[in-house]
Amino acid sequence: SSFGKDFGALTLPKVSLSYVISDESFFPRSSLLSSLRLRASTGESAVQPGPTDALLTYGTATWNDGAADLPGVVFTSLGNSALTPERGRETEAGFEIGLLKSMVNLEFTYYEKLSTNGLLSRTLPPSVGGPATQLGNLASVSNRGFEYLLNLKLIDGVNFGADFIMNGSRNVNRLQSLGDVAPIIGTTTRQVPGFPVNGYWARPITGYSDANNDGILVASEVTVGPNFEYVGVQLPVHEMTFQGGFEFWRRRIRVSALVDRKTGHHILNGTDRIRCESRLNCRGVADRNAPLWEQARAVAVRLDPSRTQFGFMEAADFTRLREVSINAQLPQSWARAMKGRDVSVTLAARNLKLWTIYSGIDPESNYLSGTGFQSDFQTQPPPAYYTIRFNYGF
Amino acid sequence: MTTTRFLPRRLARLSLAAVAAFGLNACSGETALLDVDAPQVLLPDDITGAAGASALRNGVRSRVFGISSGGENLWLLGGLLADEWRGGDTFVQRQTIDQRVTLEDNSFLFSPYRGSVRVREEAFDAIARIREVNAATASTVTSPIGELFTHSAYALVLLAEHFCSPMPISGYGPGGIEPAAPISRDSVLRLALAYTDSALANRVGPDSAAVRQYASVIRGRILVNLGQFAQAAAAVAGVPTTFTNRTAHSINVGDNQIWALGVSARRYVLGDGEGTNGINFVAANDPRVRFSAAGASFDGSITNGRYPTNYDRFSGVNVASGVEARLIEAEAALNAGDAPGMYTILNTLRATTALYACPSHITGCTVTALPALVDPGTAAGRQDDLMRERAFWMFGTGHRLGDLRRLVRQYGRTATSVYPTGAYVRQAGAQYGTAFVLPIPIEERNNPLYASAVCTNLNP
Repeated sequence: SSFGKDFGALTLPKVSLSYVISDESFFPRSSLLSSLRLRASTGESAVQPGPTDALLTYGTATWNDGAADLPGVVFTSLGNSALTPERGRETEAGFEIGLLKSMVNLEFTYYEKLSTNGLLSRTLPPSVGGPATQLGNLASVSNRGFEYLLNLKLIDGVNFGADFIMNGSRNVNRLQSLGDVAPIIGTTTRQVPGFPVNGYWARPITGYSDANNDGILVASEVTVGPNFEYVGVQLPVHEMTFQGGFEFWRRRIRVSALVDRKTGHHILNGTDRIRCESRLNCRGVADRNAPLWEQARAVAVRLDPSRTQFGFMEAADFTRLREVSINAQLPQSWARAMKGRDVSVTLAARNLKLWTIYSGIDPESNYLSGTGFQSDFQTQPPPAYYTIRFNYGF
Repeated sequence: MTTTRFLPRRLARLSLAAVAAFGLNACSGETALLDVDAPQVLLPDDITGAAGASALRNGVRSRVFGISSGGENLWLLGGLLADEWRGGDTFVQRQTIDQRVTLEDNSFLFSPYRGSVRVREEAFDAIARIREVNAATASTVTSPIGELFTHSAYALVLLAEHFCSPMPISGYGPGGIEPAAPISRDSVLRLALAYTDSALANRVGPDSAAVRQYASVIRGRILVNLGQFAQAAAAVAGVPTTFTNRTAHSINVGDNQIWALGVSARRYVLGDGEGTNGINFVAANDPRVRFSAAGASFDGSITNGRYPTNYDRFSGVNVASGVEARLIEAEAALNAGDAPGMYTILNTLRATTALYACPSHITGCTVTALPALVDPGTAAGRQDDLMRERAFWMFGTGHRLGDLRRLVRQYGRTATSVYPTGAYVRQAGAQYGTAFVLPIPIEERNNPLYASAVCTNLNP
């Protein structure tokens, strides 16, 4: 079983309400307001741990006695007999409003979610001599924020159309509690109640000054704080997309563009960190004309006793022209000739242009692909690429 | 306006029934549907009997292998902090250790610490299983137990010689983890000593002699660290010079890491007078530390590096040996004021060419007996000779850092006259730092009994 031996059954109630108030007879009629839906819901969900997480397990090992390999068994997982599901209670409320005969549609949702008994891998002290981590119901995590969608049908004609969609979200994540477990301390991230999950922590660079005006910072010209401090969150706080499209030639040709924007998060610029700290070929080390902030972070990581990576935990706000595409609906006669219903061709180009305050190659370079957390460490950024797609409906 | 379609009533009733059936099934506690075989998962109840106990014992042996020449652990990292090795690659974790500025958040520290303690934890698990089997079968064979106690002692002495003191030795049990408060280095050593007592009391069986010799050498090593030289010599007196307890490598268990990270990958470069005070492992041209032709390190920062060649990919390495026993006796003689006795022991070893014979994988190798050492007549000179002999005989086997610490702690040297010091040549303008030991890994701060007593005493 995924759960500890004491686990029984689980109840996960949910209730939701949707009210199209604009359909009510008492609702004032207006040429401006096409529709108004109010909605709210609350409910609980659960996340189960992996199928063997609760179990104390062993694994195989091999040892050679000088003559032959011999099988062995080693201890691999402490398990956790008290493991229970992670539970989340979420409440959300929002509305959907149509204006101007639904030429303008706006959706908005505010939500709050509190996860309790959060499944979190606790780093075990190495002095325990066991596995490096143990899964436990340790955490209470809150996520609150809002989501919105604005859909504009700017022009809706027979021969021409134009539309614009903007959607986005803002989420604030907080680790509320770790129970009786001390903050979980890693080398660059920590789980500390009151701060976001997997926040970056480091000893801060508190100041730097080119005291002798030679344009080069040395260790004595950079100061680092004595204590680890919270630097920033790894996941974006605010995410937005903007998509606009034009249709013409009896709306058989559509040209559209999509822009992504993410803000509020940090990335550890591991690529520049190792170049400054070890390979000594980053700009802050090699270029005497490098800005002082680049020199300061290089000096701090190379020469300060703290070896702090603070200067490489960078704000990663970015805007990217994610896609430009052209879609052409081919004549119906072509579709019928192919025994189909409709046929179209799409030409698309992705990841065309980036605007960012991040000093690394790309804020979406990700060494830790699949974990949900970005880490730039000598990793190729998402490439620009071009596609042609043939769509056949039948 | 939306439309809603409903299921046909009959289908809806059927659906509800199916849901109800599964729901009732779950509520009734029937779990047959959930019983799944998972042969890849080994549970405690799967490891039973003599076969299970034997497998656990082999598992502990594999752990010892891992903290010795089978992994990048204290043998290599301790030598990197000392003068056996220089860093030759771009990993900052190795570079900061090499430069003696390593911090507790060095990610390379976690595995060695954990790996050493887990030898003890898993050894105790195996000991318990063996005792169960012995009780069930009325067997009197206890030598496996003695071996496991010795492995535990060995793991703790490695910790005591390499890490900051006081250090925690925690554990885990049926109720979960059992965090412990830090204890002094001497307390760790006395705990290890107690394990050797248990080892010597549990050695009935076909390999009784091997267990006795292994436990005796480790016991001697512990006593040397405690400054009890006469007792150390007495502990190892019955160990023949030819005794070895060695790791063994193969395709399945893994490569010799001295070879892999040394001459193969060139991430570790042989030290040669490192930091002014270091031993001249290259210039000495000593058959006990044979080396390759000059070549660039992994990152090219050292262009004329040399790399040890006495081990190849599958060469075993001594964890404990009769040579070490003789060196312990030599040190006891030194501390007893018997310099001639010390030099007799050392020169006997040096004259025994079989102890440093050419490995079969080195073609064209010849052996010439090492010339006899001559007593310089001074205490410092004799200490230097002893420690130099220890450095060459036991190169790369996790002894050197402990010896540097003892030179300061027991022989009154200054740390700046013992450890690599001065300009750190791998980085222009950089200097060696002041680390004399490895710090306790930062992950140990997750131990509530350590978090309030973080080890800051980084003195030898």
